[in-house]
Amino acid sequence: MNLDVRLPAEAALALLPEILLVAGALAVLLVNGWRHRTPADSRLAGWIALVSLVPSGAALAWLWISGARSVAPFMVGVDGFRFAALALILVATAATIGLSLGYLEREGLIAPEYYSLVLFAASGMMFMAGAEDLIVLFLGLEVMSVSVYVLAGFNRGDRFSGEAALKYFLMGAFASAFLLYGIALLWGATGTTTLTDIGRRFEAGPVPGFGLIGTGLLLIGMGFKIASVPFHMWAPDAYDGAPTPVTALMATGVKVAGVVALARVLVEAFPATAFTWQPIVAALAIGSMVLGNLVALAQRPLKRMLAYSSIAHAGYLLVALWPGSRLGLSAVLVYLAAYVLTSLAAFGILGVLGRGGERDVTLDSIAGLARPRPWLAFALSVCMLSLLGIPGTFGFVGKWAILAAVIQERHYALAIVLVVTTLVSAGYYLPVVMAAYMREPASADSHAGAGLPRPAIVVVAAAVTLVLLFGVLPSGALSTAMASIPW
Amino acid sequence: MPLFLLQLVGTSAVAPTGVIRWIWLAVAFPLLGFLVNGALALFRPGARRAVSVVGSGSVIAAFLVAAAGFLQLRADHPEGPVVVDLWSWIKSGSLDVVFSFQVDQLSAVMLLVVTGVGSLIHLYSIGYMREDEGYARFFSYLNLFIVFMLVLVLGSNLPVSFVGWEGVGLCSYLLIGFWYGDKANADAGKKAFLMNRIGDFGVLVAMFIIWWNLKTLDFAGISSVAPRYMAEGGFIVTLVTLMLFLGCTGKSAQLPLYTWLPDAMAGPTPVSALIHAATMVTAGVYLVARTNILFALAPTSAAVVAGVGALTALYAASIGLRQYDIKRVLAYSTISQLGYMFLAVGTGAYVAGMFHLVTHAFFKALLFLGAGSVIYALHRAYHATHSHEDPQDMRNMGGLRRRLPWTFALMLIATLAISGIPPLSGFFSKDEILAAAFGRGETAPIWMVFWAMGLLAALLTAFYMMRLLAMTFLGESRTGAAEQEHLREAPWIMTGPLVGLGILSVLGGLVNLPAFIGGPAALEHWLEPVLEGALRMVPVRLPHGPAEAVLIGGAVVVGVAGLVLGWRWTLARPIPVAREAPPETGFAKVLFRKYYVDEIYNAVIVRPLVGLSRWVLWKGMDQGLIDGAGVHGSARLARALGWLGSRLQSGQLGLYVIVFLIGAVWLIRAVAD
Amino acid sequence: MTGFLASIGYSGWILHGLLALPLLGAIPVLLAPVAAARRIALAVSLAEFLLSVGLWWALDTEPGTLQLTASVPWISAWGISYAVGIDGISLMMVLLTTLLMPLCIVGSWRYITERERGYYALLLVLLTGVIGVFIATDLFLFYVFWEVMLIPMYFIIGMWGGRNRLYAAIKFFLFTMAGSLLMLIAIVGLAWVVAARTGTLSFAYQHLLQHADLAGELAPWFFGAFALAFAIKVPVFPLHTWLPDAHVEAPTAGSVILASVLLKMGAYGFIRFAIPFFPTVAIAPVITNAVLVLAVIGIIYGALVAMVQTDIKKLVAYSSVSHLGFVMLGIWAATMQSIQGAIMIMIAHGFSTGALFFLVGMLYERRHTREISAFGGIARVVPGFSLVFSIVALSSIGLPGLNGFIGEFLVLLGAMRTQPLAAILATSGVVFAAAYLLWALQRIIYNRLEPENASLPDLSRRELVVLVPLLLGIVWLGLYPNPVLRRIEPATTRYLERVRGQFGPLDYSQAASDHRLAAGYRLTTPDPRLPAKP
Repeated sequence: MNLDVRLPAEAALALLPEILLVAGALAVLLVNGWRHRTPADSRLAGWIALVSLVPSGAALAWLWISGARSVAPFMVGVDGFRFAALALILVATAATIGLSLGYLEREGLIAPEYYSLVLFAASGMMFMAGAEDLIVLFLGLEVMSVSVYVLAGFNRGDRFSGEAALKYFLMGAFASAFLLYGIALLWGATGTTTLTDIGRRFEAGPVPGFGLIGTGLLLIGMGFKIASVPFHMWAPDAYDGAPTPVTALMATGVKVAGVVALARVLVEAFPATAFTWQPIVAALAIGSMVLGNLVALAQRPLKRMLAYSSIAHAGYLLVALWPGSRLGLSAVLVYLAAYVLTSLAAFGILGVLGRGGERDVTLDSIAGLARPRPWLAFALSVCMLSLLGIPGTFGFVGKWAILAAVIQERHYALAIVLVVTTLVSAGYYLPVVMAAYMREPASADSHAGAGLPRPAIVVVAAAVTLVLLFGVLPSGALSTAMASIPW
Repeated sequence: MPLFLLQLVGTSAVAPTGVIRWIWLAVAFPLLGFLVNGALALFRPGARRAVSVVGSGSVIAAFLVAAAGFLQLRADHPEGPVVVDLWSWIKSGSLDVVFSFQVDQLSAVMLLVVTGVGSLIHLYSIGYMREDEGYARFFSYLNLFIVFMLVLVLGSNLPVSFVGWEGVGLCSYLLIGFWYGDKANADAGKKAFLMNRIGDFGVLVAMFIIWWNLKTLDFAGISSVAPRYMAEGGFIVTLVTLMLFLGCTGKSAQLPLYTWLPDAMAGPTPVSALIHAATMVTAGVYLVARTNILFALAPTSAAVVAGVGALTALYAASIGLRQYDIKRVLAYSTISQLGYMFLAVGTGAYVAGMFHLVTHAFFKALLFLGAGSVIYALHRAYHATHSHEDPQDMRNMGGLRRRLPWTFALMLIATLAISGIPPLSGFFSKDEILAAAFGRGETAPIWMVFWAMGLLAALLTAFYMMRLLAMTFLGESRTGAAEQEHLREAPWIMTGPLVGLGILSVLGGLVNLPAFIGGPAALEHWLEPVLEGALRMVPVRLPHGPAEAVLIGGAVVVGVAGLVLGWRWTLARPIPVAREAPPETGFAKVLFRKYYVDEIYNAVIVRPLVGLSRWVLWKGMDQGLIDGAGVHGSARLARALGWLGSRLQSGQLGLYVIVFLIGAVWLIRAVAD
Repeated sequence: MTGFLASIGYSGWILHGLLALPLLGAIPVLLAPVAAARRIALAVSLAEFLLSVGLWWALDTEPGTLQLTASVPWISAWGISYAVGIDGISLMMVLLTTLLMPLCIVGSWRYITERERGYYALLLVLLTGVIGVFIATDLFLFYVFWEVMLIPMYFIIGMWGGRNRLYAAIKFFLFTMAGSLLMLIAIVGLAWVVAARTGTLSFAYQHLLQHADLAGELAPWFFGAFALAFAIKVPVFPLHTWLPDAHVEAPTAGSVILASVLLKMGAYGFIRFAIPFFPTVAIAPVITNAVLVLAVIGIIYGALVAMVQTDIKKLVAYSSVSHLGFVMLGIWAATMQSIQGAIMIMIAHGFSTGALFFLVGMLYERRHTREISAFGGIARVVPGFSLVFSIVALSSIGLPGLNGFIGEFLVLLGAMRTQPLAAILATSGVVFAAAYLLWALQRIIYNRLEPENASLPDLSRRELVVLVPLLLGIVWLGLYPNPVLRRIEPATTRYLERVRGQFGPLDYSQAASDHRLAAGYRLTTPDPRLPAKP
């Protein structure tokens, strides 16, 4: 099915998932209007939000299956790449809500608007992921960011939560400025904000030098969102302070949106200037992999450790972006899928292991988890091994895809850095498994409270199952990813 | 075996005929005995009667098989060695090691000696070990030794012989450490095995080189193709023979690997008699005789063999002068006599070597068993009086001729035999060796030195043997009054074999009565087919006419002189009891402490090696360098870097902005240019 | 036998069956009541063994190529398929594995007292992984098995190991992973290079083997990556330090599997992948010399360090370093005899070292210590144990007539041809081997009997069930190794043809054409096919 996005009606069709999601968000707000007191109210809001994802997802499925394509690039892309990203974002959102349902009650955060914020953030991510135009990109980014700022500081009782929100907001505003300035410069240099047109102008011939500067500023802004070194400083504190489900959303949804948007920008707007941005991407990638993994090695709290490891994973994703080839972009999707599923499960489990934001959950507090909570320990171990990239898990498939993509371009240096840093990451992933299985619990009842609320169980179980399933039978996922690369 | 090679030559292996086809039974019987006795040792240690019957019976049966094979061989003296193929053992590419036995004149002789002397010693052991709790274990080991000794002797190629070669080493190890409860005994066993291993290293290397140069490991094949493909006196053949001889020095306790044999006396006396006197230690001589063709091709190595032999003969004899442990004296005597044999085979007088091997087997076994009877008597005496004197120290003996007349008589015979007094067996064999060395000396002067050393050694031999006899049986008794009436002759089961060996020691000379007294030189003719190749290349020139007479006369005079000196010297002054003996002084002490060789080996080789391994290699290299610096070092480095990185995460927003800006500036610069 | 096997279509399903059975068997083990778990595991492993034995007859080793091959597309997008096959060499490895696993389970009967279900399930998973490594003919599949088998071993060491188990487990994991990750790059790289020239992206062994020469200037790097992964597993000095810790801390069965099977995967990897892929690199003089030096060092160093150990298990562990040094020497000497010898050592080591670890474990179960100094003179109280211990030790020393001798003899004999110096140095290893084992033997079963050992019980019936099969193997392989040699010879010939190119298997017929003839020999070694000197 071909859609001409320039016509309002068809544009509406193309944006159906986003529109329906925003509608859902508004519905949640509406209900909150007079039901915002009891835990029941917030639970209700949560379920409404969850349900409101269904029509959006249905619309997405319809678009995807019907193979919707846009006749001309304009504002928002209509292609498999966007659909795949949207799917991941919806999954992340749904999982976040599922995890939040139990979490908020436990932490005593009775504020139903939380869920509408999650939905708004999600819609922002979706716009970002589909943006064919820098303005759309910026709008999506801001919608997403603002909601996430609030979410990060949602636990008003917890000063770390507030601190996280503040830092994230200030740094984010800072970065957005860079991004906006970059957009302006590019417009000035090329006279357009549409990615494909920018790409054409760059091919056509020499553009004013500040065009390249603009590219750089754009990279900085996006690099900030995906938390890549050296624009990562906010991430550890923000991840650490935010309520764990929000951290999950930041680690998954935000990353997906950022990486996909960046990929689209690089492939559509700057194919001609690959020689300038490829070294930068490689440098950012190496920096993120090295620093993320090394510093994660030195963290005792698991949440902080995962925060740094997410920086490392951003590095892996940049490695996949580097070639800009079909294989590379499909690797991006595959790895994102693997990372999203795994992280959701990991944060979900982390969420039940502690209290007050889980900032104090260390290896010692999960020692001997396997005896009283065998399934929990099993799920946690699968997540760690998948993040580490052990064959049999989705994580390995993702790593393999990235390696295949970058080695095809004969860039062995990146590949070697990737595997070496992976080896380093074993230094902090394995101890988790070790603590869960091979150490004795501190006290007999040290894991008494560690039980997942029912919705969270569904989320974690589903995620872990998929991680293992795609780990053994990745063919489907790989071919889907390959097929959904429009370029 | 690679036939394409054997076709090249005259002496090819002959298919077995008649009873020789069943020669493997000679191995099978003792093997069966070993299994049965082993099972009994594990499950029914008490069943002594059964053990005795099985143990000795199986060896006697082996002897009968051997004798039958011998007669068969005599009847149809084939032109080549008779090879009995059992099964294809190791086949890899063009290497095909067949597990096969070779019956020829040489192996037949050894076969008879091993099983014959072996049978007698098994019988003796029935008495000697009667009260030992490990009775069944002892006989199973003894049987196993016979098995491996026969495999060594019968093996038709180096690998199969090597099975026996190592196997006898194993049994020697087990039997030396038979009373393992005492650390010293276990140490002695280990020492023996390790020293032998050093020798085996040589044998292995020799095997490998032989294979790649001759493409065969069969003795028949080697002796037939070696002359074609190994340049006479060439590097390879010299290397091979030296490596083989290294093995011999280990197995036959020659310089420099002899030190295990004196310690080996820690084993029960029958073991010393069988393994460390009559059979196993002569394997080296046998191996040289087996590969005679190679040594004929390598004159240098032959000289080395002869030289080492002569030197060892003299050296060991000198130590024997000042030992008090009756078995140690005999041990050094064995080393010295083995030196004679190597002097012989090195000289090319293989017949003389084998001849001395046979006669030595007789009289040395007799000496050991006699010593065994003495120890047995003293041990029981001391046991009866709950005394803790050393029953092996000759200073606690003396005057035993009255108490042990039979033993005395027989040991006297053996002493005269080993001292080369005609017409006893030792006279003929030793004389032949010296004559051969002298004869060789006419062309190669160095052999004159060897001959002189041999002659001097003969003097010392006679001396210390007489000293032994005198200190043990003559003079006044130093055993103590209380023990006197407990001192008595061992039971017939022990004395009987002594008598048998005594007869053999007297008549052993008949095996090869030399031509000059009109003898048939039977052994010489018998061994001719095996040795013709080597003898054609390096003929043995024996002096004739007056020179011969002088030599023989000289040898006898030396022998008699030694005996007389030994007798006078020993009984000249009273001998203090071991308990009250004054410490040795001067050169006597050096001899008593065996030239301190053990101490030197310990200080120069053993301790440094262990120290190196523990402190340098293990603690230093493994734990310090590789693990400490390498593995843990890199791990620590990673953690340290991580820690530094996390320091950066101070929580100060200003710092974050600064880092951000630095990154931004770098990135802009990167795109700008 | 062959007829019966054919009648049940044995060769059609056996390899897949061998992979599937333990994996499926692990499920009931996990679900069963604790008491039944070990019985089920034993039944499964026994069934596995009985199944695998059929290969002895069903497999036609004559062609020397991979037989019973099967290939099913798995990740077709990347030309990855589930492909298995087996030849004489891998046959021996598979049989060794399937034979040892039931023994390990019986050996753990009393040793493992907690979390039995997980333990036995992991053992079965491990079994699948190891067999997979030996029969995989697709490099992706091979890599997956190679890595996956890490996990159960990691858990076995870490959960049921000794006091220092956590350290040992992670050390083992990191060492192995360090090598294999680089190997992963090499695998992908090789596949892409080949794909770039041939146009088909495939990880199939045969395909890559056929075109591996396209690697060109990348070949040394690829070889290096493969070699590192395998060298760590072997282990080659100085990459061996994970082994003593892992062996000592692992539970008995873990040590047995480690020593008897896992170490062999390294050597197997060299013979199957690293060297055949890049023969010109592998046998280049510089590489050859480097490997030979390391191998000889390993032989002597391992023996010397083993000699001064105070912990029996550590002693055995270091002895493995020494033994595997002979294997490396044999592989790089690259003659018919040396290669076959190397494989024989791999098998023999599996038997004798496995048995040694079992015996050490039995001692530990009795005294709860592995300090050599804690024992002495126990031959008096446990004659049966001492007898078995002595036989096994002697086979490990390489006493002719027992299995250890065959391999060492062949390796050294073969190596003397191409690498005389290394061969002679290595031969000195037989002395050191005797030194450390006899010394240990003496301090354990001989010398004065200490009172606290006076009441040790002798071997139980269960322990005999574990040891007797190994003893039979030790004697059988020592006296009649030909059935094994016959089955591995064709594959070895193929291998040598590929590796040595025109030099061929470097056996007698090539004697004259071999350029590496040691200079010393040249003077005195004419080719007997030439007319003899007058």
